Amino acid sequence: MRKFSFPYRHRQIFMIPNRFGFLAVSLFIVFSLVAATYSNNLLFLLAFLHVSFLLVAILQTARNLRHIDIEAVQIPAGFPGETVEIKVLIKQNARAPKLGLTVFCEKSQKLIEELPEKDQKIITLLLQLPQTRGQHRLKRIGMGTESPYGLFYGWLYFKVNTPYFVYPRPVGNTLALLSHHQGSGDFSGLKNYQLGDSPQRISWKHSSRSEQLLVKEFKESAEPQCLLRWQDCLQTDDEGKLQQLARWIVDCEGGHFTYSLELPGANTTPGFDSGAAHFHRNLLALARWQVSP
Amino acid sequence: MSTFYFRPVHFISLLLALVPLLSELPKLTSWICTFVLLVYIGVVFLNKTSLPRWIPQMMAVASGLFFYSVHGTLLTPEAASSLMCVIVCLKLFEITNHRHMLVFILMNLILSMFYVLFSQTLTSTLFIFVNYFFFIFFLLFLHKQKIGLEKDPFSLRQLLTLETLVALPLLIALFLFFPRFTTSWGGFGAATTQAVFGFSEKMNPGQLMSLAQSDLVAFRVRMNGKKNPSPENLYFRGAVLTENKGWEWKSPERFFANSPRAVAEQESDYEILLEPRFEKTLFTLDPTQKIDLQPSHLKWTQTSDHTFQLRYPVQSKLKIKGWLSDKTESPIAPVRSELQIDPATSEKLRKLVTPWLSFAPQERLKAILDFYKFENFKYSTETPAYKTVDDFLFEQKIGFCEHFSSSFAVLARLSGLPTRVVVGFQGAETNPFDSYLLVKDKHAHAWNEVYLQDQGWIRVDVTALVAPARILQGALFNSQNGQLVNNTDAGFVYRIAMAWDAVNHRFSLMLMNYNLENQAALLENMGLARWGLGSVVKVFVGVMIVFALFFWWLARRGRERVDLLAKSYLLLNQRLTRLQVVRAPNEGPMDLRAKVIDAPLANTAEALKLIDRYIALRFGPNATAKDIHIFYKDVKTTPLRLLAPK
Repeated sequence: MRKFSFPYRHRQIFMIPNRFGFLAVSLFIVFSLVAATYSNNLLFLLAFLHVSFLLVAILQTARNLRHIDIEAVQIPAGFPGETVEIKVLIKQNARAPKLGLTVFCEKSQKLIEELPEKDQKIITLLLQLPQTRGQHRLKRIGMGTESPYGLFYGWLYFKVNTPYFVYPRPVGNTLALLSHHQGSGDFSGLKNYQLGDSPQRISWKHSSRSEQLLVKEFKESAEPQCLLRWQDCLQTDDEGKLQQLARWIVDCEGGHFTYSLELPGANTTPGFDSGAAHFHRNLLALARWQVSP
Repeated sequence: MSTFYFRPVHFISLLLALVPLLSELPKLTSWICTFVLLVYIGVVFLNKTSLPRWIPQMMAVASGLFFYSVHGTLLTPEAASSLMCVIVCLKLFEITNHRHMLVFILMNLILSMFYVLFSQTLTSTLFIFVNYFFFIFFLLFLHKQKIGLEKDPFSLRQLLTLETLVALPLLIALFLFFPRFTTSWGGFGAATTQAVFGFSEKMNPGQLMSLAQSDLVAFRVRMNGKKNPSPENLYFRGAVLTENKGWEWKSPERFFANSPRAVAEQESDYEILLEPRFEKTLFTLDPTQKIDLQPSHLKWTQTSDHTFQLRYPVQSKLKIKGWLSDKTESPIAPVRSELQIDPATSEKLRKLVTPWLSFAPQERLKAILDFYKFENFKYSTETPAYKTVDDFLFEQKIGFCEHFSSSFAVLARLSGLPTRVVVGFQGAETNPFDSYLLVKDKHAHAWNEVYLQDQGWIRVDVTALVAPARILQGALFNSQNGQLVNNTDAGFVYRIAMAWDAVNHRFSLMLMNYNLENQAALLENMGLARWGLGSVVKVFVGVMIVFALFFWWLARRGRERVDLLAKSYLLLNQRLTRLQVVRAPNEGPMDLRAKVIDAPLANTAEALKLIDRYIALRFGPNATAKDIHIFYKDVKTTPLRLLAPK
């Protein structure tokens, strides 16, 4: 999670009456017009009572949004267009509990029913990642409330400016090495042919004896290792090469190979490994490649 | 399901808004509302079933048509509030979700608005405050329900805050300084399609008798700097009736002409605070020369026979300021209608007056009065239904003031004296605490005015002749013992009621009197006299600016407080950066500390001490606000220098 060094700044709170609030405000106009028509002072009193309350309601709604801060935001990296879950740490520093806060970010929103006094809470929001590779920033997270009366909707924005990364889109050729790697090693047995098996591995000799097509299986002598290299990509442009590498990484992870990535200009190589962490580390390296921090 | 949203506590709020309003409306409205509520309780609330939506909707439309046919319009307060009451009750059937519930509580608030149109007493003020409290309470409650926070739903914690306290002075300031301009739609909401006949524009036997049973207050009178008049002088004129047919008396067709406002050179002699009765007739203490009205937008006409009539019936309290006449002006001669005789008058009656016709007018009047005096007439509220005047005068001889005044007028006219019937009120109760007069419905009365050549119009009250106690002691006929009894109770309950009435009356006057002129007077008292009437607007704007500033300050007060410790640390970093000790973004205070040790500073110890103090305050226990404040000062003032180059 990214911590902010200086979260203490004044934020503009916006406020509009909601649909019911509009009704309530127009009731004030009705009250005062009728009061003026009939010169009815008691009705004026009711009208002023109403408008005083509405003003107080505005103040209280605004107060419900104060002394709250977003302490940290965590946005995982992901593929273009993917929807990821982002985590937001919300902390309040007021002496009273906050009611009915809606935290929203783009099209996703989440309601916090109650945030007790001087308490914090981690909530999850959804974020659809952009279509382009590289570093992006989530500019702001909004927070709105209608509490305590449900007459006015007040909202404000936290300028979080949190960076996050989008991997290259995994497109390109399949890993050419796959077939070679699978073909190596010692013969271990036969299995039924399935769509996708290499036709070179069909054992015609065995198949002719049985009713089905049979495929030779080889026991892998050692963990197959793939070195995914920049210069192996056939694409001419950088983005294309990155997309190809991403494709290979996805293929390797799918095939449970250990793999390593070599990028020009990257001074550290992650080394041969596999698993989710390694997978994301390599993709992140692609996402960050030649991106100014 | 509707029962999910509707709880018994909502019934309380509905009844609190509904019942006071219904008490001001015709009984029929109450019956309709009761019926609808009973259906709701029976069908929906107890059995947890619901009616198809079109049934309540059709009922709403039907009641709209019904009230339209009864009142001739839906724009009078009475018609509109009757309809509103029924619609609010019907709304119950529709409540199935949160939004309906919100609309429902808003409708309850509108009921308060209608109630205030009818009643402007201390009690009604309390009522609207209670209703408004319920409104806020339900807003809170419903909102918590909406966000799914059902825990302690009745807590008012959100309500009782500093901001709420601001509402009260704001309310007072708005009330005092909001300029009371009146709109020019004074006639808006008046029934124009249907003529409204109050008892005082037409008289039929039985009309006043039914009023005599009622203990409701018609109006209250305060004499300005004068003693209350003695009972025999307490005649409040309402309308003058001249057109006679049998027992029926009607006021003549009149054309409305705006009467000029009375120029107040001196204080009025009396003030009448008229309860809302939805009639055009204004009541004035006899003899009144001119009047002024409040609310001031109302238009009225003063007729040649000194009655006062509103242009439109008004359904709110109004105040009449009256100036008594000193009887110096020349009397207005009678017109033909004041001698009109019903052609159906019997021969027997004509024969009765024949002997008096030769007398002088004065003598003729005396002869008629003697007829009543010596013919053993009885005063009672229980009278036979007389078909003709003859039945009363010659047979039964038991009558109420209507019979006396009506038959007198017939006799006097037959004998050639211009006569008219006056309806209004006679007598009053005096409030023991505030010495104003309470005129109740039971004081309704009818009497006559006779024109004598040398005296002008004089008041003649035959009832006073037959039953002096009715006039002098305000005694009323008691049907139990057949006697005239002064049943004004002076017991404990009566005294309490009177004390409450006195408080309420004062409050009503205070509330009513507050108009643009009074606002100007208030400012005058505050020392802003020279500004004139326009100053009300200026002061209002000024006061609102003060409040706006106050709100702004309140909003500012609530801004995020700057973390002083963070601010101090940033300042320390800035100062060290100037001395080439730069902390990278990823480095913490310990890294900074290490850099300070390496840096060529003249006072490394002080710098280290500051960093150590920061670490202790930020990460250690028991950091008080005072410590942080001292630390901030120290960061600002501690001298930090580079070593002087050798």
